[in-house]
This record gives sequence, structure tokens and C-alpha cells, in this order.
Amino acid sequence: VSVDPQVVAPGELHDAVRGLVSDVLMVPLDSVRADSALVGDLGAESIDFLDLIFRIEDLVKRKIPTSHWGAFVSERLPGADLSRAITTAVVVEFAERERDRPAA
Amino acid sequence: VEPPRAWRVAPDAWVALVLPSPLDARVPAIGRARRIADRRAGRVAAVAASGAARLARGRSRISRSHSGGAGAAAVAPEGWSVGVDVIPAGRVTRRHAGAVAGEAEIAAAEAAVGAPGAAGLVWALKEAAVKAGGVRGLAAMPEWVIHCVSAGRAELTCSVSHTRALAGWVAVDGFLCAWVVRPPQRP
Repeated sequence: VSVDPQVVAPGELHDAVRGLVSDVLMVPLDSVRADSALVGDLGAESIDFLDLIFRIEDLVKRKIPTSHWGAFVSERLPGADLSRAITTAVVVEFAERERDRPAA
Repeated sequence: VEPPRAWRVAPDAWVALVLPSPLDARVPAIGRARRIADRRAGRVAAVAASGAARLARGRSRISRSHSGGAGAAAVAPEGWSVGVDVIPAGRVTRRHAGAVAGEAEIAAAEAAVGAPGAAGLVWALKEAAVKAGGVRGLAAMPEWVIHCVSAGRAELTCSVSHTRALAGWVAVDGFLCAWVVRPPQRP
């Protein structure tokens, strides 16, 4: 897997995604923890997830089809209560996956 | 919030919409207080829709939505498919709509509601259809294809299940509210 080092270094991704979550949901950065549930704790609405995808596209510098998010959630959190299960850590994982996705 | 407005959308099925009052302007646009106010608007709408439908407790299906100080709810008898969405028209951009809909779908909405509200209408219609389809989530929105939109009405079809959904919608005071209320399908 080739990763463009200009995009974002692996260790920086977590902090970058925390910042995105804070910006998109307009909540203080210190309230965004790895285990914060985006819907249950931070009040995210469905359109906020699309804004997050847009911001992750900018971060990893590649187009992310909306279907990728759905496929990721289905695979990663089958049967889960998504209002509790989609946490900052899960979004970081999604961003990592998209960053590392081989070019089509 | 303003007093709820409720209207009958099918036999025993009601939709209620609650809009923010001028006093709600005191609630910050962001953060915890905003979220609490939004959820309260959703609860007020749910109570209004349930009260109008007069269905026995445990014998109804309800869908709720809240955003930007507004709340909406749709209530129908148990076994029906129910989905509702409310969103400030200005919250949804062309980029948002383009991520979940094709150009023809956006054009259909634009013809009905005008360019400024088209993206919001696309979003609300698809969100309502997705909820009525029994799933939550962004990923299912592109699957529901908007075929035609007219005044207060729209027709969508799921490209996966081939289910057809007739939706209703209103545009009020900068908010778009859409709903899908469908009786049980016969095998």
C-alpha cells in the first residue's frame, strides 16, 4: 500500500479527525474523545456525516463515494446501535482505510 | 417553539411539524443547548402527531426528526412504514445533494421548489424514504431515486428492493419537511 506522505502522517490522523469532528459538529475539541459517540454524545445528524466525508476527502486528498461509508459501517458495526457505536475512533478508522485504499 | 401544526396524510396517519419561535433565537446555534432544544422540538412534534392520530399506545409506528430548532414526527398504525425528515433549507448544499442524488433528481426538485430549496428537498425526501425503508444511514440515500416531484408530492423507488414510495412534503419558513407513510405491503 502506498501512502502519499504529503497527505497526512499516520500518527497525525487521529488528531486531524478529532479536529474535523469538532469543526463539523461545532463542539469544543476537548469534548471530542476517541470514545465519543457522534450521534449520542455529540449530537450529529445524518448530514453531518456527509460533511465529515467531505472533510476527510480533503484530508486524504481523494474522492470518497458515499457508498464507502455505508460499506464500512455495515462491515465494521453489523447490527450495532449506530447512535452509540459510531465514535471518533471509528471515524479515524474509516479515514485510515480511505487513506490507505489502493488507487482504482 | 411555535405551536405544532398537524395534518392527516392517510387514514389514521398524521404528520406534525414544530418550528422554532422567535424566542428560540436565544438558544445558541451550536452546542449542547442547541441539541437539547432540537430534541425537545422533535418530542413536541411526536406528542402532537400521536395525539392527532389517537392510536392506542403500542399500536402505532412513529418516526421523528429534528434540526435547526424544528421538529417533525409522523405517526401511523403498527405495521406501516413511516419516515419523516425536517431540515433547514439552507443547511443542504448542492454538494450534499450531488453526493446522494443524480442531476435529474435535483432538477426534478428544482422544478417543484425552485433552485434555493432543491438540495434541501432532495435531502428531506431521501431521508424520509430511507427511514420508512427501515434503515438509518447515509449510504442508503442514493438507493432511493426521486422520479417526479410536484407540489407537496413526490415519488421515489428503491433501486435495490424496487419498493415504490409516495412522499409528501412542505416548505415552511425556511424549513423543508418530507414524509413517507406506507401501509403494509401485501405479499
